[in-house]
Amino acid sequence: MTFDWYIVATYYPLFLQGLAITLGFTAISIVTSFVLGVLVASLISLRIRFLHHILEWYVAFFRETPLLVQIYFVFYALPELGVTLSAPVAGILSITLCEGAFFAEIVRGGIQSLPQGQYDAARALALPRFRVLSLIVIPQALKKVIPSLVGQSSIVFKDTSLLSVIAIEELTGITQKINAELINPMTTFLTAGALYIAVFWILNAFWLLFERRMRKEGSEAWT
Amino acid sequence: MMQKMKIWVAVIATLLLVVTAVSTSSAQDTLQKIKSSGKLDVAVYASVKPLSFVDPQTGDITGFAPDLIRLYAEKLGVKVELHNYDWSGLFPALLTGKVDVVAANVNTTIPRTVTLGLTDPWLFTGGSIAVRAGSPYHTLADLNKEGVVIAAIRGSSYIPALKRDCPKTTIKEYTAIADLVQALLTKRIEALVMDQLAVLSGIEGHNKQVYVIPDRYVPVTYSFAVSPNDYALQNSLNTFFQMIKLNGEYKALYKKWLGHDWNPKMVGY
Amino acid sequence: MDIAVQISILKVLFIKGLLPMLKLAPLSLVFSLAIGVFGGVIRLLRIPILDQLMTVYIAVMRGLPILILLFIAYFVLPLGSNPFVAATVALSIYHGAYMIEIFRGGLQAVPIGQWEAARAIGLSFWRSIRLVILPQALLVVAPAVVGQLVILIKTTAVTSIIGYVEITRMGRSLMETLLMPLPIFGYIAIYYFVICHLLKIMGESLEHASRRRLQGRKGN
Repeated sequence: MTFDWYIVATYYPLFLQGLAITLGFTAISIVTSFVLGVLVASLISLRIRFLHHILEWYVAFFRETPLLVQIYFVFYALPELGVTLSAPVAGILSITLCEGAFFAEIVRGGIQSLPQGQYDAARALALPRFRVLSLIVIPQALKKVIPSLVGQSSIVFKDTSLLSVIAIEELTGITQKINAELINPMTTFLTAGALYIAVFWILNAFWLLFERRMRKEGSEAWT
Repeated sequence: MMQKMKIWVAVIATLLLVVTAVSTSSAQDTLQKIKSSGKLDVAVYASVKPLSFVDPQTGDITGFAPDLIRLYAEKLGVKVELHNYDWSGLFPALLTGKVDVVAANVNTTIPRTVTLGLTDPWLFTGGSIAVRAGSPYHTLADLNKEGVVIAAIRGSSYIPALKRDCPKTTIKEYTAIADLVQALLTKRIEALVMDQLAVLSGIEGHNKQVYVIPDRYVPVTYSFAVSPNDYALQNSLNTFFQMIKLNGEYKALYKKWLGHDWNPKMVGY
Repeated sequence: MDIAVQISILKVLFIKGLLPMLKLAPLSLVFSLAIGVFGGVIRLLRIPILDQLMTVYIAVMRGLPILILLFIAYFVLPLGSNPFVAATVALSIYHGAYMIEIFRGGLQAVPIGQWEAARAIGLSFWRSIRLVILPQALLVVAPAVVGQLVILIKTTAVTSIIGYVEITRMGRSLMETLLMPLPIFGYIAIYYFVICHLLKIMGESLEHASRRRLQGRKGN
């Protein structure tokens, strides 16, 4: 078994197709996870009785169980409860539930790090709690935790490889399919691995730019 | 700066060299290797009751195919180690030398003999089509309509057969039997096609919700598989199958796992 | 629901699933810690070539999904047919990369005076690391290591895909036979959660302890 460039040259459209699907799932999942995370963190910070306990348990549970098990659960076990989802929807839902918990934890950390004075000032203006949260607390908290949010988004990109287990043909799934046909794991898996690494670092560079820009805007707005 | 660049170039060049230099080779005859190491590595697909499955009481792999390969190993005088893979992992594991034999319900097909060393068949059966109870579809021809979704296991020989017989139908591929059954019960698909035994075990407990179309779809036989050039091992397994069919051991295992007597006439011997 | 069946599922998941996982995780932890210590020292001292190699290694591991790494370890590296070996190697080198960064931070946190003192009393380089620096660094990194261990335990689930029979794999096989995904995956999730949550609580108390210890030292 050797590395066969001919395979790369012949099959690259399939690899790229898989990569495109991976990026699609990544983009959707980052948005949904982010929204869920902000929502959960806000609700937790409102300290509504019972609800915030439930949400804290949700965050703990989904952060402390493997994503793979969550995917299996959503795809195989939810139908028993009458919730049947197609593989792509089940995949996005599992990643959202899992990464939403991670995003929530990050945003919650940001909210907790804000000085109490911010709240008091806003409350002194007699703004309702919810408006304080959405207009003042969340935007500031998000700015504080941008690096962590960016780091977590990179993890979402890698997470999507697990969607191959429910027959989604993203990069990992399609690589397995190509390998089943060609039986040259050295070529197929190393090619896929190289693609993941390259795209991961390209995305990282973009996010770094984004982060820098956000921070610049942030400092102009808040100084 | 130049110095740093040089170090980087050297590092990356070394890494590329290492990557291209790692390659595996196997020159030794597999059967001799098995005999001398005293261990037979076997890939199984433990997802089809009663052919091969995990016993829920003990967590051990059991069934018709594991019993056959255990009997073979016993006669060869070696230990056997079973590795449980997904279907899509079986042949990559075999062809990259992770295991010596795939002891599973590998459909015997002639195109497969190009890439795999198939043994003589060890079971004669066929595919079954299952639909939901009360479904308007009763034959394969009924299912050949635009918008109808039929599913089968990825890589199974039913996929090309379905593409040939139901050109209008959408054909989906799943990786596990449980997925297929769930998909049928939850109306993601209209029909599933699997090996007869897999259908019977797969719908266990759902008998009222599922209707199995009585006609056998595509008669099939199952083989074990070895790497394409392992002629000695392939011959050895063939001899084993012939022997146990004549001496009654096959008959006993057949009865044990399928619950009825083996009828050699049925397979046209 | 038949109670006897549920108990037997829980039992099989424990014996044939959780125990194999608990064999894999500590072994991988030990190897990844070893990688972390050596890599951390290399990064700290910026040893030429080795330091660059570490940079590449860490960049590769951070960009690679663990599933692809497992496929490479099992199907490309000549590690034999037992997926346990490939799984241990893959998990060790994957988490080792993260451990390097953790240990570099920990070693940096040890005041420079400690290094000078260790060398001044005539200890060789590796002995001063082993006897003086590492014990102090360990105190700093312990919470982060426990955090990484939680991630490691969660990634053991992925080894099921290359055929290592641990709890997730056993759950899938039981599901194929019993067709009861709801209780089976529910139990698996609870098993993981209990282990990871206990570790997380332990990590938090370690963090308190180490913070108190460090603050105490500064006060001296």
